[in-house]
Amino acid sequence: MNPRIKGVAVAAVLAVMAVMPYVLDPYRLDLLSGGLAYGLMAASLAFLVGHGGLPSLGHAAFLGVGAYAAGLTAKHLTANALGQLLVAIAAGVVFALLTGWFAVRTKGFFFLMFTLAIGEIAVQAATRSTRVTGGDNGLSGIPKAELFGLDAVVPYVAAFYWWALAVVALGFGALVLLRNSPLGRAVAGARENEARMAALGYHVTGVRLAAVVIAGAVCAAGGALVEQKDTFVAPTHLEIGVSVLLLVMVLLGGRDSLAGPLVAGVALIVLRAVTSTALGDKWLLVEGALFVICVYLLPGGLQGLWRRRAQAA
Amino acid sequence: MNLLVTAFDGIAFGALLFVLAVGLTMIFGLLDVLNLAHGALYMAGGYLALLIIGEAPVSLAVFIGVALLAVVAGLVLGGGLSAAIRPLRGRGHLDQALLTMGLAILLSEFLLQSVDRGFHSLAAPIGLDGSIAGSYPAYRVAVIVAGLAIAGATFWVFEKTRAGALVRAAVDDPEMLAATGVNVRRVRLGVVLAGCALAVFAGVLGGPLLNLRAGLDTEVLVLALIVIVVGGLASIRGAALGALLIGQVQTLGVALVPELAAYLLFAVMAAVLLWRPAGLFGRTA
Repeated sequence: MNPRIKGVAVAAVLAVMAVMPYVLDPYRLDLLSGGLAYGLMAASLAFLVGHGGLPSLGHAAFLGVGAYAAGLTAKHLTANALGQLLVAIAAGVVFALLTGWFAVRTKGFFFLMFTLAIGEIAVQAATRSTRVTGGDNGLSGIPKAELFGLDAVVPYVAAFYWWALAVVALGFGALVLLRNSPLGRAVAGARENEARMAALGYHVTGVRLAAVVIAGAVCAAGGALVEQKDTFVAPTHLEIGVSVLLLVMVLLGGRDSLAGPLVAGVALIVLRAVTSTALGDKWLLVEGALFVICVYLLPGGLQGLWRRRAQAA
Repeated sequence: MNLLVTAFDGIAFGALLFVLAVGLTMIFGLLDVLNLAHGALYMAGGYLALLIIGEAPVSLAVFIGVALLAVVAGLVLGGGLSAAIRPLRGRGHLDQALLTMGLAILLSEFLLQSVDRGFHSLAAPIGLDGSIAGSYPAYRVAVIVAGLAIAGATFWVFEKTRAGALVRAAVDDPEMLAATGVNVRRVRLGVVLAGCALAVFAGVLGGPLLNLRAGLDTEVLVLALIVIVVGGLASIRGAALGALLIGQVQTLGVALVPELAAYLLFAVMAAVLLWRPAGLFGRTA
């Protein structure tokens, strides 16, 4: 697409999204804020899975790290929304470095298993560290995030929506810029042909770790939004079902795309809320069916990449 | 003394993990499919028993009957799984793994919908519900014995029988095996069926040890995965050693340092991956 047309399209979408507080009622606006947060996290997972060729089954751990970090910051340090966001991102980076340092040394199925294990261990850690996280009951009593006085002018829901939109737009923009940067191209190179990248002098493990850190930091930012929206976070926020939900968003939106998973994320969160009265806890059945249908009928780039990776190895 | 009891609990848990992990590791070795539905199959065994006999203790004969029924259910589910994966053969291994994940969600949600999401536990069968040597639960000893028996049988089948030789050959060099006139596809099907049957059986065996509840499937799946990451893929010896190690780490960890138990598992897995990236008994590709 012509870059100028693309620029106009992005501006138009942002403009339409920005006027939503004047169109939607508070309930729907709140829902859309949540959808945007999950869309951002799905895009970060697509960056890892599609662009980096690193299939993670434990991405919700980053949601949890971001959400708990933001929540704990809100309770003990500052009510400032930006401050909480920055702490969450920093926590996401640290967590990505700690786990990714091991994970990127594994290949193929081992990466899949390792990330799945990290996801489950994160849930266990959140459940058992009762003193810090509140255990099974979750972290409650979190004060509302202060939105730079914006909520004095408009209702809090609208102010929060704008804050979420800004964070998601910036996070998504960062993902796109990084994907197209020299580092992003190196990440794609490490996915396509590890041996050649190494021969060219790239530190392949380091490049992969960078991809994990980028995806983790962006996902943690989404997690902070989830916590700020509900002023609550519990181990259920990071359990494996959430990782799977994020993966369904990626499969549905297209593994090679970043915008696709973002849109699919918003759509699935809205769909889940709309059907919740009719479906109740049967939503997971729908999620499983969607997952199976996506794998059967929507083959995307990933298994192609996978085959090429297997050949390269 | 208390620590010794906990360590013994760990052996029982390890025996259970072995029954689960051995199928997972062999299915992977033969088909290159990571069966992420293995935890859901375990869960199916537990809920099947719950639906048939409820939470009250039953006689040993009935319990064994249910366990055999679980084996049959495992064979059926394994056949279904094998049929579901087949269209994706040639589409790459990751898609197959993702498909099993989707099927796992469907299966476990179906089970939770047909019972409920709350906690349930099976009672140990009459005769094994008492304790031996003072106060140690007899059922746990029975689980250890069952685990040992299954481990022994698996080793015997793999090392001493023609069927086992075919499976080993199919792991090492499927093309050459096919060239000698063996139907490799049938060998693969056999391993999937056996692995799934063992997983569902493990669900009945573990019913009196681990509470049935929502999320159980991922919990046992992850533990089984850690076992084969530690032990090495497609290695029975690795699965046995890994299961014993993880059984101890998890049980002792939860008993001694409950807040750190989760990190302990991670530490063990990370240490093994650093020391021997292919697992303790894994082959380096």
